Amino acid sequence: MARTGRLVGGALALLASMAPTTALAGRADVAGYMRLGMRPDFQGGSGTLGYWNLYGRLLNERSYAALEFRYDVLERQPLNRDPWTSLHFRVEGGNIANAGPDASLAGFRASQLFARAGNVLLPDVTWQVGTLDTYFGDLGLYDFRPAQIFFETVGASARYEKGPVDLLVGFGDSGWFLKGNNYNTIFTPGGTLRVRPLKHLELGVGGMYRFEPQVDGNRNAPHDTPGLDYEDWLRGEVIQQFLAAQPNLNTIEAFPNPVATSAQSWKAIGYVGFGGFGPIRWNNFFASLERLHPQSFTTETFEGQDYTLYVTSLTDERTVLTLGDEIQIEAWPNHLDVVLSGFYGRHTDADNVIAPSDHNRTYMSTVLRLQYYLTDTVHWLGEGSAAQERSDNGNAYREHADSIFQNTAGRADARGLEFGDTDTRYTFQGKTGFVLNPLGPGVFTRPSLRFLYGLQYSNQNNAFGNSFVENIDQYNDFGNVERHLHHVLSLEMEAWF
Amino acid sequence: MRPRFLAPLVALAVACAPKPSGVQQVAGPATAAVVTLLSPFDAESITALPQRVNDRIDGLLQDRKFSVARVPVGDASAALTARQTTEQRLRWLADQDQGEFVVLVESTAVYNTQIEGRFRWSVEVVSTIADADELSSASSRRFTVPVHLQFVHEKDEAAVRAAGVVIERQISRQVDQWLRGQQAANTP
Repeated sequence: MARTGRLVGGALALLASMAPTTALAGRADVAGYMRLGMRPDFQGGSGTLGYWNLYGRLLNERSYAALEFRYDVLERQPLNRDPWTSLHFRVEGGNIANAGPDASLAGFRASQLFARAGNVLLPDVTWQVGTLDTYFGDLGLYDFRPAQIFFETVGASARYEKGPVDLLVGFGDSGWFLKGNNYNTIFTPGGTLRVRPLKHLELGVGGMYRFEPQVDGNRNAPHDTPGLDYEDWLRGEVIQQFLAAQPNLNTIEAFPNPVATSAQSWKAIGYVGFGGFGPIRWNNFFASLERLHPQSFTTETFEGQDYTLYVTSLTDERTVLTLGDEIQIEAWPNHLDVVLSGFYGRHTDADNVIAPSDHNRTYMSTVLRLQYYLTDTVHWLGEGSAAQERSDNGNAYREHADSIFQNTAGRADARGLEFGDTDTRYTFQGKTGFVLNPLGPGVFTRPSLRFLYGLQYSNQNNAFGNSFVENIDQYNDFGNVERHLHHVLSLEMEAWF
Repeated sequence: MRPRFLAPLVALAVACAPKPSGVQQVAGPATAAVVTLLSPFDAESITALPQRVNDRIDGLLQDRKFSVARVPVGDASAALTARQTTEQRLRWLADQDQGEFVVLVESTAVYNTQIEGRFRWSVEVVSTIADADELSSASSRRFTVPVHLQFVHEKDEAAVRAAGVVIERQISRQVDQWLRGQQAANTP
């Protein structure tokens, strides 16, 4: 008893010795981000030059806003190590009046909520409880963040920062994000380590592991329906084929029950940064390799009845590799800045070797942006991009309006799993115009008011968001359009605050 | 040196640009003793502001006809760290007898959050100008500048550097207002 008392007393004394003395109450603050574009499109597009950010975020992203409210319960004080703590709450979404089809606040989500505390228990450690999203950085021309972990996780983390070392360790639960109303706990430990061995060089690694345990009796836990055939499942014909194979049965009750299992997935990230010498402001290289978390179940309807198929083992071999690099160059000091970026992605799904999908594709692109400073606040911007996307399981894109007749070996195939008439999409974009930057020079200085023109060429027909009627049957009242060049004007703003 | 085809654009942009107005000038030759400092968190002593920000502050003072006498923070670090209120630091600066006027710029930069790919910092600045012989004339301005850094390795110095344009704008306005008030007070 006395020994226990001494141990407790010693621990309390240790805590007391580490605990700072006083702290001051703080203040509220709002941070945020917003972008909005008006993009008249006389070719029938819906407001973006191309399909997605692989061709550069410029003119390919839609309006968006984010607000983060912060309240410093205990303000951080300079020149001391008092405890501090802050509360953060973020809402974000893309529903903006007159810049999209819907201005409802229902389009916004409470994406982040967390509390941070520092100088508590351990020096140089920041504790965080709540959502844990963290990343090493951003590819600014793409708005991609390959080196990101805990995006889907709520839990707790501790970040140690001292000198050239930044170590983050955390754990939490990703079940709500990944499974929504079909929640099941997905335990997610992980961490990152970033070091700066030299003034001009940084290295970082990290990763997370997601484990969803087997829970017998819980319909939201991972299960497998025995004997599922991938092609039948893909076609939505599992029940039909099951009954066809057993003509003596006129009931579905013989359909096998799901078998409980566990599921796991993971993500590994890497980062190399260097710069601060010569004309190179900084170069970020990010890499990530992720095994996606398996799906739980899908629903199939046969003869008016819904059937649930548990597909953990049909979806547990989906892997995503991404590599991205961005270099910022001060090409002509105070006159011209250059940013060059490249991105490579490879998605593989070892379960699916028969049909094109987002999980079986390879893509790569490069984006080059030049910004010339006519004056401190008036700039000329030019950007070009080239991209290639290839489906690894057959055709996935339509080069021509009548490609439906060519989807398998040049013949119409009503049972074909391919789509369109080519497995590769090429996209080239050019954008130019003027930028007003009240805060002065800088490719990424914001706020920016931009007046831009964009041109896209793609081998895919109408490769942009549109409302064209694509079928070619005799009841198509609108006809088909063959178009590979796309023009967009844009008046837009972007700001962080 | 700009390419010839850009000349009309540059000329148009320059011609259309609004010119700064309301810049005041100090009466007669005058020297401002200037100290600008950054108070880090979780550290023991203050440091100097980045040179680029110091250049901006010196420039705005010179635009108003002050001669600038810099008090190096390195030499004064211990004294200024020991004195942690604006009043104490201003008194210390006046006691250095470096000029007829004193300008003190104190700053901190604190990391807030990651938002939309950027690292958001808040730079808090207290700028003070006074007649060295009459510190009761001091004018202080406190303002906060949110900045959004791109790189994870960028810390408080980069944040203050990124806030340089706004810091210059704020202090310029403050000095103009203060000079205008001083001149009005000295006018019979």
